[in-house]
Amino acid sequence: MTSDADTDPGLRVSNLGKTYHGAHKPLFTDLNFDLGRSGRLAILGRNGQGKSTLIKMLGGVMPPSEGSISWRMTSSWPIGFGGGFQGSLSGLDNVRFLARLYGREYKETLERVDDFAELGKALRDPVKQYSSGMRARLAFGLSLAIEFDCYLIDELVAVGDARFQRKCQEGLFEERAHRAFLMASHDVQMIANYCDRALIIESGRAKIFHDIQEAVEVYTWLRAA
Amino acid sequence: MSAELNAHHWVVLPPLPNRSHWISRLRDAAERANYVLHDWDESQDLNAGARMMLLTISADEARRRQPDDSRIAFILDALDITLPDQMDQTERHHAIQAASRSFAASTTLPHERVFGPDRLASGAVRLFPDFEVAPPGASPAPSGAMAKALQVYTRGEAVWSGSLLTWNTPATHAEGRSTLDLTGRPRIVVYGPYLEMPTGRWKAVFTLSVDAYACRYLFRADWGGIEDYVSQEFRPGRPGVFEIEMVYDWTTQGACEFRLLVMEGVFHGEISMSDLIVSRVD
Repeated sequence: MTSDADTDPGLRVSNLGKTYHGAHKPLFTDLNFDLGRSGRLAILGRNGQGKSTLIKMLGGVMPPSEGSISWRMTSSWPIGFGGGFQGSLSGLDNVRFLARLYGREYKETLERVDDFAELGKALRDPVKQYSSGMRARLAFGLSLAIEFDCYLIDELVAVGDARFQRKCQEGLFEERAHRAFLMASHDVQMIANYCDRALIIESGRAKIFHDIQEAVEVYTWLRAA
Repeated sequence: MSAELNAHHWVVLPPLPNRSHWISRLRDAAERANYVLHDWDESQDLNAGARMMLLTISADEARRRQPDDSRIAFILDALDITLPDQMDQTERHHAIQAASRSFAASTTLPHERVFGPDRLASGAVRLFPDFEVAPPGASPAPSGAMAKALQVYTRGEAVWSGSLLTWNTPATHAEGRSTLDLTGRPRIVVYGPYLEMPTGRWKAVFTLSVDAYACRYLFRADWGGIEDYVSQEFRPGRPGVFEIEMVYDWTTQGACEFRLLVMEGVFHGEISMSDLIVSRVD
């Protein structure tokens, strides 16, 4: 059986590696995988193994040391990642800026962000005054309002309280069930529920697991080791 | 009926690759010696008054019907079991167990009643005082993995190739070793082969080579029957080749199962397992 990742990948990662300046050894090397246009890839790994780095590299926030990332579908910025906003601008101005950048109609985009992020009057405040949770809500609301083919999620649990997280999960996994996403998380229950493959990064080595339950089991043992 | 059966001679002929040739030779020999060769497994209707040479694949059946071992001859030529490719694993295991059962049963007969490859190699053999048969040809030397494994019944020792076992992870078999990527969940890595073991103490010895990653994980090896067996747990702790030896006592004839398990989830690592050397220790 061939998946859409085999025939028409929306993302192709080839020989990707990352070595931080001054580091004695690479964070990971020789990472290869494809993601189909409705593929759901989990990124698993213990703290410090490079999950967030990979998400940032895929989101264009950080350059790779080697290899290539080839997108053939639109991708969000890393959700859960607080960067990317102009801190001295208000939430409204950031929405306006990003709507223009992505060619979306401002008013409609604002309505959708306001409806989802539930930031109310705080949207008029400079983003540098936002808590990390508020920044994450704004980032998440914007990514859903702009609509991407693929969502990059770095630890969804960082976004708001339990009620808001449920809202995020509905908005992402149910209302956009046909979209692709890559999700870095320690939450193996969520991974098992929503992902169909997993990439585990450990000690500089990355492996794709096509059986998500097997990946969760292996990762659980890695965490326990 | 049983009194009549006691008067007959029995030839036990397991499902050998050359079984049809043997039947042809036995039929010719029976005619010369004024016997009627009758396939007991096909029909149990006997010609009253005829001198019968009863043919069966089951040593157990022959001994059940004929308590006098001197009236039973067990032909154990060209040890092998050939199985259809289309069988699933469970069917394959059952077929191996059933086919090997008759081989195992040969070990319960007196040695002189078993006509193995060595005795058959020199030509015509006298199965009974008045019954001589010429083998259909020189016994082929055991060459396949199954044929070699079945030598436990004739030599009390055999090499069981990894290719006879069932692997839950694809393995490459070469030069007496099976090599595989251990990555995956805790699991039974390999199991089988469900050959029927004669009663007695049987030892299984194998070596396990582990690399610098695989040596960190906990393994378990099992040897014995399907329900009852002996186990050894071990964590190699360093890369290298380790020899594992286990002994199990079959108090009754029964299917054997060897298992190698990895008890932890494995992210990375490679192992290489040697063929099993199985031998009788009593």
